[in-house]
Amino acid sequence: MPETIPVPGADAPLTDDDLLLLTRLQAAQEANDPMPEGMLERIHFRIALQAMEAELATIADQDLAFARGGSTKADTITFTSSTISLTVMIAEEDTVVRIDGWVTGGGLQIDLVGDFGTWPRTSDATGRMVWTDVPHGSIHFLIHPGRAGARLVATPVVEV
Amino acid sequence: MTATVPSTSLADAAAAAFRDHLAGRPERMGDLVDLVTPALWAVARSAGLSPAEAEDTVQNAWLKLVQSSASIRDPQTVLAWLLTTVRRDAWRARRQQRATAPEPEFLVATDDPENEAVERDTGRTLWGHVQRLSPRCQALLRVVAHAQTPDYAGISAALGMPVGSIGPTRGRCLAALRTSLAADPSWSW
Repeated sequence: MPETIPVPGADAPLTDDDLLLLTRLQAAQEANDPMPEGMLERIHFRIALQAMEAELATIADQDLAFARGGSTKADTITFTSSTISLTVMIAEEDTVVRIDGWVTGGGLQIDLVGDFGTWPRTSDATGRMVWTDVPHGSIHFLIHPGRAGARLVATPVVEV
Repeated sequence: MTATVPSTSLADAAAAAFRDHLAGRPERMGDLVDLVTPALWAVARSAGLSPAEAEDTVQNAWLKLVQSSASIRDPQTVLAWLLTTVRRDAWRARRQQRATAPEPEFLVATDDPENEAVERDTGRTLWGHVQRLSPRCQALLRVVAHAQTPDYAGISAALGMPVGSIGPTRGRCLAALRTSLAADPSWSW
């Protein structure tokens, strides 16, 4: 194993130069290989979902850029979970956004969650619902279970 | 002549946050995530994972911790637990990949004085040398650099490397980096 070959100076005590080099290394890694934008927030979110025992819906591959903090904002996204599918269409209207949703099931409560709070809607017989005057920003949806004992479903956070 | 080092190690700060979380303060898990995730990112990336794969590996380690937190007997070991989990999962993911080599991301600096200013700002030359170290040395130095105190014993053990002599020594990875830099005419201390 290469790591058993002795390296000159390995046993030398740590000097101020060594600490300075580590400080420069810290700056270099922050500049050259930072964590992706939003990574900490996504981890916090997943942990919170686990605490709620909610299932996290997935986004189709072609829509994934929107969830990972890409510069383009979403216009149509489909979220899929083991029990349910939610498609949302996002339209800009002046300084706000209109979101039309369609879920596989009527009479389900869907919450739109953002910095503005939680806006619940109940899907009609065709599975549709709408939110108007939504401020731009990060949002996600919570789909309440349609039957007793089923799990809450949360979608990943997206930008509108 | 050894320099003085800060008294709170990353391991101690992580242990304190984890203990508080176990004692019923859920917001302290958030503190733990913010504190340790940069080091976990460094370990996953040093194994050669892409940014997306590294993020997934780190996220899964956190979810495993939350699921099994009641079974971790000694909160003092939470940093080591996380580093070890990411190290193992990242290497497993790397072995399963089709691609054979990580993308080369470093640029080679010239003697151009303008680039010296760039080097001061971005550390590109230094970064190139770090990337040429073994993955284990990259991980160790990147994590130690985050920790701000050279917590070699704890971090070395968690990253599966043999611990050197007692007391804060340079260690083979830092010595290897210094040797590599010394051989580079474009590098200035």
